[in-house]
Amino acid sequence: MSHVRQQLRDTLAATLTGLATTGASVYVNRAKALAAAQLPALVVRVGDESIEPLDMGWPGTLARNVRFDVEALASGAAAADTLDTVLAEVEVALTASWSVATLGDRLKMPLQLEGVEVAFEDETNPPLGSLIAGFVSTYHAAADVPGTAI
Amino acid sequence: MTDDLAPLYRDFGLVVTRADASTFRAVLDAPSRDAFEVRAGELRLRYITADAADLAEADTLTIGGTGYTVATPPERINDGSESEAALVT
Repeated sequence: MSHVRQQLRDTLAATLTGLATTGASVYVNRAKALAAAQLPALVVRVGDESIEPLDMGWPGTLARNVRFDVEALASGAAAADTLDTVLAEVEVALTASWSVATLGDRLKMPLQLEGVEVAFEDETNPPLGSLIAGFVSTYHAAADVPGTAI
Repeated sequence: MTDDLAPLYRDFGLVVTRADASTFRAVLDAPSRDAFEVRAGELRLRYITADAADLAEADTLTIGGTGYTVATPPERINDGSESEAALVT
């Protein structure tokens, strides 16, 4: 069974696939450069975790606080507008229901938007923009069964 | 210095037409450039500063029948006798 991290990442990507602006241009943990012609697009990443034991047993149960980055990428003179539109679509999509917001009931609490980082590059042709929406939440899993959220 | 550059631009430069129909010669480079893990391009116009001393951001240019806009304020390079400006199509 895949790690819960992968399950969360794939569920997040599936949830964000088909949005009005970015459509099927959703990429997971992409390391290679995208072509400007592929924009607007979303890149989904599951990031760092801080982990705390929930009990004194061994191997025990872990509370895993995880960060998700959803990066919107857009090009052209209207990139800023496009990025804000994509952010709105992402926020709406991820609050569609409790099950969606907890990525298939794997998270103990709904995804919480923690911050937004925006940057632009105006010396490329076309100009590019990036908006990273950072979400945080927590899942629990037995230390010896990392493929099952409990 | 500018006198030394003039033959170079005359031989290798492209004719750049400004919105007021005046012209100057410049070299247009178009390498790839990445930003945010996106592979885009870059258009850099290099010219003798004195030939277009008032070139500014948002000015429109035509080179070889293609229209461009100056994307950023031009920057002087080397001893200042040449300048570079980023363009967008």
